[in-house]
Amino acid sequence: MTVNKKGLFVAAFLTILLTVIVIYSKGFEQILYKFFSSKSENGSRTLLVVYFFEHLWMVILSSLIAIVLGTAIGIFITTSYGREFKALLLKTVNLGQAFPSPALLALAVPILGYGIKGALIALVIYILMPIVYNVVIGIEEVPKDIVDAAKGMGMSEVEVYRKIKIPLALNVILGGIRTALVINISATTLAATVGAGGLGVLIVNGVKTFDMVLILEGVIPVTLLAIIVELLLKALQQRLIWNS
Amino acid sequence: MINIEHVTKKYGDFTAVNDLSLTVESSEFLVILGPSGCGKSTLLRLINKMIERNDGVITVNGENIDDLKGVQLRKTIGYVIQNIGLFPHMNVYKNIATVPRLLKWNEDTIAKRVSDMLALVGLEPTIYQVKTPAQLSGGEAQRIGVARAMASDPEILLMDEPFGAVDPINRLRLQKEFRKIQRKLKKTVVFVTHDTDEALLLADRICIMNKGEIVQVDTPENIVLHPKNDFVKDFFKEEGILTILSRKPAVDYAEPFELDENPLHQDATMRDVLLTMLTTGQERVSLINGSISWDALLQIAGSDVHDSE
Repeated sequence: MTVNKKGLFVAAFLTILLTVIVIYSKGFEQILYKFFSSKSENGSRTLLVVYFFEHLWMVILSSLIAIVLGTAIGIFITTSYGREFKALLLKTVNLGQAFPSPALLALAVPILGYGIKGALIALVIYILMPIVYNVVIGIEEVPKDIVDAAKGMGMSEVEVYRKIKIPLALNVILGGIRTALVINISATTLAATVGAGGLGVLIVNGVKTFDMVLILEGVIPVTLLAIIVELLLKALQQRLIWNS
Repeated sequence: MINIEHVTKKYGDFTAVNDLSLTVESSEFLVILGPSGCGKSTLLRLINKMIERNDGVITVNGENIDDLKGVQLRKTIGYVIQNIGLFPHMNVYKNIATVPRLLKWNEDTIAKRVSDMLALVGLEPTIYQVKTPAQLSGGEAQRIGVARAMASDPEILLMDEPFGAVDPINRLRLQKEFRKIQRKLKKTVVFVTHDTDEALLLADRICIMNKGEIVQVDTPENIVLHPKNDFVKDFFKEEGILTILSRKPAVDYAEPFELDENPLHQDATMRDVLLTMLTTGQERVSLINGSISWDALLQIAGSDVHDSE
């Protein structure tokens, strides 16, 4: 519980820091100019806050889709109905992760065109693996005796999942979601390459022009966001699991 | 009552249960005894449709189990397994309330039932119902397992080596307590074990299985004194007779011959009488309602042998 509180404290502090940076982006740029030489002297033309919310929106949307889809796939392939699809689906999901993410995005463009749609689909595919794997592992690691006892008392398969398997697997499932979200927050920077916006725009432009200020203006909020989300989910995980 | 007729269960080429027929009477304590892999657990799980059989008919209280959904059937039959399978994320109250909740009892009835069940297995309800399984000792957890299986007041209990994981001292206590509970509530119990002492202590009848088939079904006395073949004889060895004596309350055999010394306690068994004779060298042991002589003991132990000759 003390670890939990410390984590929340740090998360709160970082959130304040991030909010200040996003709102007073011009001041933030001025500070960066003091430390790094840059070709431009007036920073990004679009406000940081716009990029930030584009980024956040893509992360939220793709994460929600991936969590729903990944959990559904994970649960399905552990049931008696879905068991035969397990090997196939796990391999497919694996491939999504193994495939280099920039290539995944590039491939989405000819099919879905430039913009947010392609980026979202690519991100969902990319982060599906940790979610699905942890759902499967979490559920399969529920001790056989406990499942046996539950069935023996007359629980239907749905009841076994709802009352026994999912509550007991929740810790592992949330672990997977946490990993997926942290990956997602940084992977979303690539969405800029297909014209979907987000903090990646600053990084991509910065890299193109060797502009350290632009790069950092994108990297720092992304990193802060990832750490905050990680800390918050860890606290949530500790609160939700049964043996905390 | 459970009726099993010509039931066969195969796993691929392996026949786990082979054309087996057996009837378990109402309120009977039937112990299925056999070496591991003899098909005893499989037989138990066929009764509540945890696994489907290949052939044969099983009826439970006159109803063919094929006419019932597995989920429906299992709600009416208590089930206890070796590692108990208490749900670690639920407290004792919720564990015991599992089946009543599945049956949608109202919460007041459930609360009363949970506290009755805890009292029945000898645990203080107010203290124990808020504990989690991780806070229980092995013996306590096993008691909760029994309480949970009986929560919906099923007529039949299926038990698969329920006391196997408990230490020997606690095991004996649990066995004796459970036997008392079973007698009091008149439950029909099918109890699987590989422990001969446990079988002799608990059973009304013992069904000895080997390689998916029944070798002998009979009362503990008859099985020990008249083993059907060498398999049964080897299974029990010679000590079986001691366990038989430990089932017999000494007071039932007392002769009206008062001794002027401290009697054995009220619950003493014939085995205790024998032990007292061996350790003190006396030929007559005092009881609360008389006494027992060495000759009488020999007769009681061997009565069935002489009867049959």
